[in-house]
Amino acid sequence: MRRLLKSKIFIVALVVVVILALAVASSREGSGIRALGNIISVPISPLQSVISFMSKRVADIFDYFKDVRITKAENEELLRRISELEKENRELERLKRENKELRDALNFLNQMESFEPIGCTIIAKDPGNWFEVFTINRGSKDGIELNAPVITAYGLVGRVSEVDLFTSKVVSIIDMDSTVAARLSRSRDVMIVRGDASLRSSGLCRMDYISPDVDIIPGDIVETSGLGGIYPKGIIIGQVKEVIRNEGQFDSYAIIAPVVDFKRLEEVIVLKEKP
Amino acid sequence: MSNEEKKHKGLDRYIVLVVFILAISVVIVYNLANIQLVNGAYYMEQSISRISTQGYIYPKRGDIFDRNGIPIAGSRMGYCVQYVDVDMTPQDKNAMFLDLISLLEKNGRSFKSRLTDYIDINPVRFKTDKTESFISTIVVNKEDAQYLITADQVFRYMRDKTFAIDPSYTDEEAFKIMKLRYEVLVNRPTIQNPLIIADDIPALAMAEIEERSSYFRGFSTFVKPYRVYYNAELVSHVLGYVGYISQEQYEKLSKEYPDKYYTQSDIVGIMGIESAAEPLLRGVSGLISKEVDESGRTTAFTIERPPVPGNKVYLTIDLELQKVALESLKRNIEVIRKKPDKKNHGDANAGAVVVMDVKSGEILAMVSYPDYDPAVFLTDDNDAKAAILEQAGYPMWNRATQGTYAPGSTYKPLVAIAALESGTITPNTLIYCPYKEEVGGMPFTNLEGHQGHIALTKALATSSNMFFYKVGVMTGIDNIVKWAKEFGLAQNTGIEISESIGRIASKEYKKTYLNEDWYPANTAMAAIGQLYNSFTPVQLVNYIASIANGGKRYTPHLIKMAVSPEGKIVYEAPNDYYEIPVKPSTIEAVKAGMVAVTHRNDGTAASVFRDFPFTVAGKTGTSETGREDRKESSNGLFVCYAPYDDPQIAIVVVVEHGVWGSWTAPIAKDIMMAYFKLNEAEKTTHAQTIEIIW
Repeated sequence: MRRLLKSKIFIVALVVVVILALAVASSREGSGIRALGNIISVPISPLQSVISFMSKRVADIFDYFKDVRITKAENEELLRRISELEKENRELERLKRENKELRDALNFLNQMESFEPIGCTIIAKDPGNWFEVFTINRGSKDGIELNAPVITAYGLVGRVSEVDLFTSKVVSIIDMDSTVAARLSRSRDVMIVRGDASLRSSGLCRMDYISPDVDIIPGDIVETSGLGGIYPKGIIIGQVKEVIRNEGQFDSYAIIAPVVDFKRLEEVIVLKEKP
Repeated sequence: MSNEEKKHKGLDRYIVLVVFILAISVVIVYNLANIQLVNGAYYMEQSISRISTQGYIYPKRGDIFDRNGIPIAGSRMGYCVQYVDVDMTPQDKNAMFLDLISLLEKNGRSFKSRLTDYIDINPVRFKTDKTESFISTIVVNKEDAQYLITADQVFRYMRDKTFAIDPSYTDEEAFKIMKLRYEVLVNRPTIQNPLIIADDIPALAMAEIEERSSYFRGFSTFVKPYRVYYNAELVSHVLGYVGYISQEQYEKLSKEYPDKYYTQSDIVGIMGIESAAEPLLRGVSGLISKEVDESGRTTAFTIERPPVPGNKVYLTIDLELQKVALESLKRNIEVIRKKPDKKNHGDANAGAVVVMDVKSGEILAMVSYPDYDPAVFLTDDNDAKAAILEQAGYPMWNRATQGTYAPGSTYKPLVAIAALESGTITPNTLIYCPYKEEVGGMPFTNLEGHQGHIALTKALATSSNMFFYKVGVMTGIDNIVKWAKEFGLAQNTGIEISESIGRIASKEYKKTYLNEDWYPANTAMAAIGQLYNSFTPVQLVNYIASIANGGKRYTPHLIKMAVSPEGKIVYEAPNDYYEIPVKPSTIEAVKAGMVAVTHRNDGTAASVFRDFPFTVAGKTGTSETGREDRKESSNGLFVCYAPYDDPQIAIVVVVEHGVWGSWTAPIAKDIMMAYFKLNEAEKTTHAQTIEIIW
């Protein structure tokens, strides 16, 4: 027996079997192995941040080698944009104040009083340019719950789709697994905002079920309806970019530009329901 | 080999190994980076399972308006829920199904399952004798069937074995789960063939199913247009209603209109204009190619064939006039019931009114009472539907086109035409009309008493039976039948909605249906609109209109025109007519008699139209139902047209058990007042008078 334990081959085989067993067990949803996963994911999560950071750099390098000139031109463009953005930023600061005041007026904060905001940092994201599905640095120990709404100061980001002890996964509204019961700020008709296979690559989403008698034009503000059971009422989703009326079809749909920039997202707020 | 050499060779091997491993590592890292970072998004896209399928896009059914553009029928958007089976543990599926059913119930909807055709709970019992095939569908192993005898055994077996429902659920909860699981078991819904869970659910239920879509796996919603009615209760029999297509309708319509692409889940017209104008209203269904995820939710789509909305249909009906006619009919039926008269048994309970434009054949109002609200047939309220079907007086039956009534004295103008055209009499021929006389070998009495020698005008004004007994026999039944046919009686009028033919008292009829020979006395009875004569109100109005317009027989119609979604007129009612070969002098003589009905002091409807500002030509009719001795009142009829010198509209009023024809004339008067806006005119003259006084 002792000799057997000393045998290198046996140890290697044992490790392989254990790993495979764990892999199979953890792939089943709701298995107890998840807790085990936490033990691994906890020490790993700072490492994940590093990996996420690194992988972005690696991707950048690949991009760089792919087309240096574009990157160069982009760099110049970006430099110009910086000054623009600084200007825009000041404007945004003003708008932000204004926004807050308007929200107060709308009694939005009252409605948010039943929630406790938990500030979270994004530590990893699925591949791709957009923050469609990403991981945040808070989990069940912080009181994060499945389906908890996720917002930023500007508006709706998405919902929590998976909760681990120290981290959680967020599905954003541009992801195809997301559906939000929405409405126009100035009407009562319920419409459905969802991630769309072709629109998500532009950071946009689709709003379905627009009745022909609904008066809707580009620029209309879309917000959560509060009727679907996940998102509270009145969170800004975005703006109507384009209304598409298919020839002969009774209902129409619209392209929605989310108010949250899903290209640059670092901090989000998870809304925890107060007991 | 020296030690040195051996060492050297070992080092060599070591270097080779390191280089080899490094090379492999570089390849692996390169490929990993390529997969994960460079093409990550692309592979992610590829990895999401996609299934291609096709679906129909329901076209918007055409709107229906009255002649002035007042909406009668339109469309609204509604939501449906469907299910495709997904791979889940029974525990999770049961919990999800119960949550979905609770959600529907919370929103006032239920899930209809065929399981309830076989078994029920509280108490658990079979609802059918044929349990064998049912049991065979729910057993997990064939052999198990032999142990399942009582309803309770079957229920327990389904609960524990077939559907593995957790013991923590109550039997009621378990039964709800079973109902849905049974339908899924029987239908095996796939992406190509989803199971419709609920139709036309409230927006609130749709919002919750959609927002919680990651939980409600396999469930998805879709929208389609639903019919909505406005003011439909005013035009119930004209409008009809829509409903789900039947198998026969589907086969018939898809064969007849293959380019409209009917589907077996379509909503089509069942009765009235909805059914008659189906080809105009339907539109063309579209076809969509889509990629769906495992739950059947669309992730991408292309429209293969865009749907084409149906045409807008404008009726000839004037909704305002229709309302006046309906309300007047209802009100006067109540009045008639309470009128004291020894012949009144207070049983007036039904009737019909038709108003026609004599210059075009357009039906301006068509009322049948009792009526119903067609909007009930758009709901799934089966109790309300059953209540209509079981209500006394058959409210769904359109008396205006399907009811046949003995015309009574309203037939007399037609007999007069036959007599004049055959040269039997002239307008001035005097006929001796005593109280009693034998006509055609049978003794007849004159209801109007002894009248002496009278001519046609007085005979029509007083509705002299003796005059028409005698003139009828003189003219002969064949001549009368010939002219009745010329005026479209007992023949299809060609109106769009379903109609009865009615029947005419003739030698052929008596021979064919009774196998009896015709006697001259039969002609006498037929000449006063009795015997086998039975016509629909729409035939009667068409006959009166043809007299009014001097012998033009139009096709009575309800559809004025149809307009495509682009605004192009795609259908217009033909304005052609059949020229009846009748002499103008004949028409003039009959008209003079009809105007005397309302304007001579001895006219049968004179009291109703006294002080009327223009001249109305009419004829009352009181037709015996043959059940007067069983305490049933006779039917009351009134036909008329106006104005006398420039006829515009013709009206027929029938009140079942209306006792006397003249009692129904006030309904025609109300309609004329509304049509010619007499009330308003009165008001303005009144206002003018006040102005002058002041």
